[in-house]
Formats: sequence, structure tokens, C-alpha cells
Amino acid sequence: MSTVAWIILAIIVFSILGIVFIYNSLISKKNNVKNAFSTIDVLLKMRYDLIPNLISSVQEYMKHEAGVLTKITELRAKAINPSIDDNEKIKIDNELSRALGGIMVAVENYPDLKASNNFIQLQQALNEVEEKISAGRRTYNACVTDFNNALQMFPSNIIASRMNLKEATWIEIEEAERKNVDVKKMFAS
Amino acid sequence: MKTFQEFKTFYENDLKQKCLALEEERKDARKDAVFIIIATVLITGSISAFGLYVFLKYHWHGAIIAAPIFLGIVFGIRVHRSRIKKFARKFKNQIIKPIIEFVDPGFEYQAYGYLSKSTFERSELFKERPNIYSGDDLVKGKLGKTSFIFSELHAKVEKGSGKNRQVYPIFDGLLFIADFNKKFDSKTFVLPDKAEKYLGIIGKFMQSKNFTRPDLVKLENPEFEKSFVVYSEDQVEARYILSTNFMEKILEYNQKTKKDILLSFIDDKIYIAIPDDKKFFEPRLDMELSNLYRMNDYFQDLNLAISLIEDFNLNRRIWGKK
Repeated sequence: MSTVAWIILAIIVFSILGIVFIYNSLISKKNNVKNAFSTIDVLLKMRYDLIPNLISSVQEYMKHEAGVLTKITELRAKAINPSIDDNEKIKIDNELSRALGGIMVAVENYPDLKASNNFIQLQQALNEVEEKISAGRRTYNACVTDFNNALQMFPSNIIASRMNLKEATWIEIEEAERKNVDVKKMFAS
Repeated sequence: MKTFQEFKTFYENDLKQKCLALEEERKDARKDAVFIIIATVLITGSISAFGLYVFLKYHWHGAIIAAPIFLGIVFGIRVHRSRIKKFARKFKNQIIKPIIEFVDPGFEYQAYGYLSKSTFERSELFKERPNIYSGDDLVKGKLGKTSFIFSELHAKVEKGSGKNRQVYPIFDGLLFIADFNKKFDSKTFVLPDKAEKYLGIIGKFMQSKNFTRPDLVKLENPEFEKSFVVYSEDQVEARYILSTNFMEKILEYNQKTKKDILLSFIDDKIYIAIPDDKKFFEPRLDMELSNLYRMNDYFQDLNLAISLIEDFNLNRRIWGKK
């Protein structure tokens, strides 16, 4: 075969390899997004599991915050319902973060509760889970950015448009100004 | 953390006397050091001159000149070093140790102790395994709730044999290890980002293909991303450790040291390597010991390591680690 033929063959082979590489990379990024979301799910469940314990520990002390505590219990019940969709899940997650943050701030007014070992352990467990959820959200957003970039940048956008892939949406992270949350105002309903 | 004012008081009331007490020895050490140099030059010179005579008169091998020069210099350096070390040992125990005890009487100091090679390798910060390894100035203690240990280290690797023997430096500086305030199961690495600095997006792409390290973690703080490249076995745990707050603290500390620090998070501990070619906590023979600002330099070097605990808020134990 002539040199030109070899060159054309090489170009074809490399193009096919390139397409395969990009296609696989897009699938991988799409799955990363899905994975990251289920990781958040797992972390959210850990938080939901802590809530009943929290409610029962502080109920006796925090008479003023009874309304918030009820709201938290309601939100939790909604959240563990398997039929809610992903967007609902995120909304409830945000509301719960704020409510829990508000309770933690309100605890400052109850020194007895604040000092009890039981509560301190609970608080630490909650802190750990909250920070992990935050890390989970950040990971999800990073995967979404990666995926959306691949959908928009050249040359992967060519292949992506053939695959009918849709852009994923970020989770709005509430960098809670938690100290400034007025708990009563929040749940004035 | 002790302030400069407190150090000044300590110096006036205590350290200065110790410096003065050691002055005589310093001057002796300096005299001896100079003498050794002169003696080495003279002795080596005269033996070589004799060798030159023999070479010219009796046509012996040229090695008769080269050998004495080589041996003389090697021997001279050894004697010089050991004389200085004799003084340095006294300096470390009579000056550095009190400074460390001033910072916290509970801290332990071993002038010629250093972190073991297995500890160094456990940090997994450097891919090469050293075969030339030494160090000194080991400090161990507990500040608040955080236990820590650090020492100066010099790690090199020697490759090839015979004529091709080459020594490559792996790390010179301080390695600091402390309990971390969060629990985690995977390994995370925060390393200086050379590739992205010079090669931009292509650098980033190459970093993601680095198979000597676990997966690349892309973080949201652009300044952090420019200075560091992060690898981790678990994307979520990496971000759990590297909260937005902590990333800023790392950047601030990096700028404070003006060095390219390396960090790893393994087994609930944080490893921090601060590279520096200078030798820490060594005396200067040519200058008077009793000088507040020179003593303060040693104090500040010590603070560089210990301040990590406060700068990184390692005593903040709100996440379930006691």
C-alpha cells in the first residue's frame, strides 16, 4: 500500500479510538454524577437516623422551640418517604440544614442541656454528618461541573449531542449564615 | 502560643545567662575550627609537595600527589565536623532545649533524635524510598488536645553503582505529624501544584492521569487549586477534610512559610512536610550567642512548626474525635 493509504488508515484508526475514548469518558462522567447523588442519599439517611434521638433529648429543655422541633419531625417524615423525587429531596435537605442549624444556635440559651454529655455526643455526631453532607454536595457539584463541561467543550460536545445527554443541575449550597438565623421567624407559620 | 514579648522576658531573665555561660565554649570551638582548617591545608600541602618531589624525581604514579590531597581533605572535613558537632550538642542542650521548655514545659526534645525512616515512608508524601537518611532536633508533645511530633530530616536516594553513582535529594526540612480532628478511612494528599502552574489545563489533564497517586480531586477554591493538587481515595472524605475554611487556612500557612508545603491525611493523622535547605537549630560559631534577635530566630523556627496546631485549628474537636 502507498504511504498515503497508510496515513489515511492511521487517521481513521485514531479517530475511531478517539471517539471510543470520548464516548466512554462521557458515560463515566454521567455515572459519576449519579453515584455522587446516591452518596448524598446515604449521608442524608445517616442524618435522618440521628433526628429522633435529637428531638427526644432536647424536647424536655427547649420548650420555646417546640414549634421548630415539630417542623423538623415533619420534614424528616417527608424526607424518608421513598416516593419523593430528587428535587424535593434537595429542598427538604436545605430546609432541614437550616432548622438543625437554628436549633444548635438556640441551645446556647440552655446551659444545662449544652453541658450534658449525651447532648455533646449527639451534637458531635450531627456536626460530623452535616459536614459530610456538605462534602457530599460539593462532590456532587464537582461531578456535575465535570459532566457539563464535557457536554459543552470541544471535541466531546460533538459526540455528546449524538448521545442525547442532558446537562445536570447543581445543588444550591446554602452557606448558612447559621448564627444569624432567627429560628422563630423562620418557622412563623 | 507564646508572644515575642514573653520570649523577650524569658530571654532577659533566663536565656541570656545561658548564652553567656556558653560563650567561652563557642570561642574555643571557633578557634579550634579555624586551627583544624589551617592544619589540614598545611599538612596536606606539605605531604603533597613531598609527593610532587617524589613524582618528579622518581617518576612514580601521579597518585602520590592526588592521594594525600584527597585523603587530607576528607580527614580534615571529618575532624572539623566533629569539632563543631561537639559544640552544637552543648548548644542544643543548653540553649535550644530551654527555649522549647519555655514554649511548653511538657514538650520533649531530643537534640539528635529524628523521625524513623518507616514513619517518613508512612507519610507517603514522597514516592522515592530513601537509602541515605538522617535528621535531628526531635520535638514531641501535646498542645491542648493534639499530640504531635516533628523533626528535621534529610532524605536522599542513591542510584546507580560505581562510576554512575548519583545522589538525588528527596526531602530536606521539617516533617510534622499530629492527630487530626476528624475521623476518616481513606488517604488524601495535598501536594504543590507544579503542572497546573506551568501547563494550565493540559497540566490538569496530565495530573488526572497520574497513576502513581489515587484519583484527582477538583476543589472549588481557585487560589487553592492554583497552589495545590489534591489526590484522594475518596472524593467525599477529601472534601470533608478539606472544608472551605480549612483550605484557606492551608493557603495562609503556605504563604506564611514561603515554602511549598506538602500534606497527607492518613490513619486519622495529618502529615505536613515543610521543605527547607537550611539546617534548623544549629549554632553559629562566628557570632555572639547572647543576642535577642538571633535567639528569637530559633524561637520563630520552633513556632513555625508548633503554630500549625493553632493555625489549622486542630484543637477544635466538634466532629466526634475526642
